[in-house]
Amino acid sequence: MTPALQHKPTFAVECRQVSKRYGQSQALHNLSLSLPQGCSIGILGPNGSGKSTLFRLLMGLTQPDSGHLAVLGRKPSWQTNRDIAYLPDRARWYGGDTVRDAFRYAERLLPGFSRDVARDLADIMEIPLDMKVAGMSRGQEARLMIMVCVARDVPLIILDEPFSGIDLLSRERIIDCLIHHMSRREVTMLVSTHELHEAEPLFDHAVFLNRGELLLSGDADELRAQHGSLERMLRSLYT
Amino acid sequence: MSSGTGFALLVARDMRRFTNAGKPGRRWRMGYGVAGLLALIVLATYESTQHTITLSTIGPVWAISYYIPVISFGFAMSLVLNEWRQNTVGWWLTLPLPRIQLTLAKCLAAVGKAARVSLWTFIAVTILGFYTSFLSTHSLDWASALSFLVAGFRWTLFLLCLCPLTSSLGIMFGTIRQSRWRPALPVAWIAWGMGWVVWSSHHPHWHMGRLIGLRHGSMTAEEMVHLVIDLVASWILAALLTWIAAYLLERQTDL
Repeated sequence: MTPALQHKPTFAVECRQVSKRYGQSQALHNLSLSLPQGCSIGILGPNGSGKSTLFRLLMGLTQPDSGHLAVLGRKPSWQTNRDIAYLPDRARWYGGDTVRDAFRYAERLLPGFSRDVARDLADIMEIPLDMKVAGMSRGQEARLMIMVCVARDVPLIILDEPFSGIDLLSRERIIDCLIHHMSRREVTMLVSTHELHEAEPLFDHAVFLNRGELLLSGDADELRAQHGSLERMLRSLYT
Repeated sequence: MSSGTGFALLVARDMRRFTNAGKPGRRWRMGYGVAGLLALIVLATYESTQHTITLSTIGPVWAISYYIPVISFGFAMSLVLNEWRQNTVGWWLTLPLPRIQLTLAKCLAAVGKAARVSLWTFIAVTILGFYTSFLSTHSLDWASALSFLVAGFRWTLFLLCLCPLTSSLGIMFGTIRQSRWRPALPVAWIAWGMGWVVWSSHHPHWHMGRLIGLRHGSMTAEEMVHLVIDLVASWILAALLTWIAAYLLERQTDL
């Protein structure tokens, strides 16, 4: 891969001809896209469309086989991770921790984390600080992990399938919290989800991927005006 | 945030971490522990009434600590593999710290855990040794007691000095297993085993009896110098293995 793009970042994420293959499976194929800063972006598509691979590349968890990739104007690395709050796909939190331990961990290791903001979020999401992760429901654990991400004052938040396996009420509570949080800060948020029905109000911009390639990308309001809703558009694109 | 305090926190958390997955519950483990302790007490009591046991003759009992470098290997490997098993690897590998700090933290945590086990083993062997000797001779010879403790301390310290190497091996084998180099794992095991056999056959001063100063006589100054050189070399090798593990996580691991 060639060195990072050197210009001042006008986009939160820039991909040019990015390809990534796992064995026989082509996860991303010549993907080129630019994602604007300061808005909430839905990365949408069926399983295997390359959403999680894109996020892992942005976090430096894996390397592209070819192409240029820049996040916040720099090549992904552990240094760029200072400025990104990332919720990994299918992640779990450390079972022996209490919520308070998790906040202490985040405060010491994740730049920009505010314990006060996290406590406010814990109140809103009704998660007691002394609760152990091992005793949490899947929904409660998901809320904790989202709190760890959202309580960080960073320019980019990436949430990979934050609602999977979570009941409807927890989903709605998390989405309300995210909308409230986004409205108060200048932050770019990338969210991949299959729960588009509930998550749709989150998005200002939408990107549709299929089999590692870009199908469509655009302003969410314009897409809604053309197709009624992002969910309806998703159905028409993939059926 | 300071990267130093973050690193220290990572080490401390990994040292505290226990994995209960697939293991019996706490009550069962306590039950097994108490049963094992009772069995040891019964055996020690029986032996001390049947034979004359003094602290100067039971020095080789410290050999029981041989397992410490082995468990430090196991601790290190499971600290790495548990990140995958427990689906926390995404958090771990996206921390804003260089990979070498992530692998080094796990290595130090494994050494710390091994040190904790060594301390408990040292205390247990000391109590058991004093108990059997006292029961057998109805007295305690303080000179023998001191010599017994010094021998145990020397042996335990030597084993602990090996733990950075075995822990870094555990880290490296754990990361190989999760990387694209996984097919090379059997080769790595064979290379390590053969290397150990060849190396140990050329280092007779690594004999336990000589290391603890019992039966085979104390080590000479020259042997001691060789031992120190060997240990320093093992730490350099440990640093290299930790760096290789960091490289594997950075460049050869697909998530």
